[in-house]
Amino acid sequence: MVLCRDVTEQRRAEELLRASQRQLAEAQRIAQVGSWEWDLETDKLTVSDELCRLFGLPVGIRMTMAEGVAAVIHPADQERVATALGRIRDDPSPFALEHRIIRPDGDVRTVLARGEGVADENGRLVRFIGTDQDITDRRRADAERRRLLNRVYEAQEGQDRRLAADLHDGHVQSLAAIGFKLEQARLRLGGSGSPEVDELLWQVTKDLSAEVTALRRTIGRLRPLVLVEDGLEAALREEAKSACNRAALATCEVVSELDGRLDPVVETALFRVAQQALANVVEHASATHAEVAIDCTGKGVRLRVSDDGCGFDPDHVQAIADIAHFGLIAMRERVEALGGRFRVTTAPGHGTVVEASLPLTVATEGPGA
Amino acid sequence: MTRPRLLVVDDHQLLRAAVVDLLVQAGFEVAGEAADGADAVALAKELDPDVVLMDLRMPVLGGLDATRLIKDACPDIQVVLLTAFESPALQQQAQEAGCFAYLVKGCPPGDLRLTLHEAMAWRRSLLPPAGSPSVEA
Repeated sequence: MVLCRDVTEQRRAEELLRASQRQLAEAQRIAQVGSWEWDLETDKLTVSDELCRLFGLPVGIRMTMAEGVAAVIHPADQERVATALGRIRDDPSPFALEHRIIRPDGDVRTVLARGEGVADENGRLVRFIGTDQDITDRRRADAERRRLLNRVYEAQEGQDRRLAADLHDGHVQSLAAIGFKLEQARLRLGGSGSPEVDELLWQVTKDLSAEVTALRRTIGRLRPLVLVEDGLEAALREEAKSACNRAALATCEVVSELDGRLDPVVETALFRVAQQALANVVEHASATHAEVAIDCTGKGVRLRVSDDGCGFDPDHVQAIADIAHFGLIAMRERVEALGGRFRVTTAPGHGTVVEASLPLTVATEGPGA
Repeated sequence: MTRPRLLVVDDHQLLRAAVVDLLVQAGFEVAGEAADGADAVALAKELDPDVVLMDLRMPVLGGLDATRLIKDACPDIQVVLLTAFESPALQQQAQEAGCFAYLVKGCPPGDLRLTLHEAMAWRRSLLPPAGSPSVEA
């Protein structure tokens, strides 16, 4: 007796499955993404071919999660990864974890692991599934972008310093000299000159004095002497005082918990952020009260500029951000280029809070680098 | 009363000349000029002016260091700092160095003359009256 069964559909399904698997493998290769499945009961790890290639492991390797962590995770990240894995064992919600790996050939790569838990029919968490993506190139590009941005800021600060020095050593001195000469002319005329001429000379001398003062302030904005000589807290107090004078602010307080000087690069960056944030308060906020707060938080320093003004719609500002409105992009880039965090909290009618956090010390290249 | 005797110190030649011309016109006697702090110290000891009008940032020796040396050698000579730098910390340092006053370039010229007169009056109040016998140790 011969039994015959039509397996056409089965063969077609198998072919479709193989095609789908080929496409998935190809997609993983192109995206540099490997997938994995972690059985919580056995600790067994099942990994895709691309993940093996990503980690430099033999395709088809069998290992437990503990073995995998010990074999590929960068020693400096192992404790952090182990802690994270311990934490997620009881929490099926999606997670993302960035860490470094070392391939057998010594190549260090940066990987972003994403995953989430899977429960059985009784709701018991039994396994995790997820992906690992090689983001080394992206992180290197980010680092290169930050490096270049810092070079731009260093160059800009250097140019401002030179311009300030030129204005100070040349124009301010010359204008002050002209003022003294005008005063000398006024004294020489004495009682013999007409009251109108005396009045005119007095007025010109006074106007010139005001211009020299304004020029000194411009120099101060280019290269804030008070920041160089006295530090961030004193510079912020000067800037707050200036903001009060320029706007209809009832108060602009500075609350500082700083103890001593900071890294000059950090001081300059935070001062520039505060300067821009206060300029926004003066020009756009219609605020009555503003506050500049600065405090150290362990390894970092945080600046917070807040006002009780009209606020704004952040989505609207984002839409016109290409023209760097409010200088928000510049502030964010400056902070993030130094490895810091920047945040703006605002809503129409509810004031604005600008926060910038930076590490206490930052590694930058010298001018000659 | 004799005219107030001044020593004018500034490395910016144009400004120094303008200050000297103005002060002479205003009735001061400019006993000497210097373009750096080291020359200022030497001339102060040599000329014994009532007041030194001193710039802050100068080559060789800055105004604050020069002031300290002058005050060490001749405590009754008064030093008025005239600078383009406006800084609370620098004002504090100037006070600690023994400066009589801290003026910012671009201030009304009347303020300069008034401050110099005050410094001169203070200096002369410290000196023994003319004709009083000198005491030798």
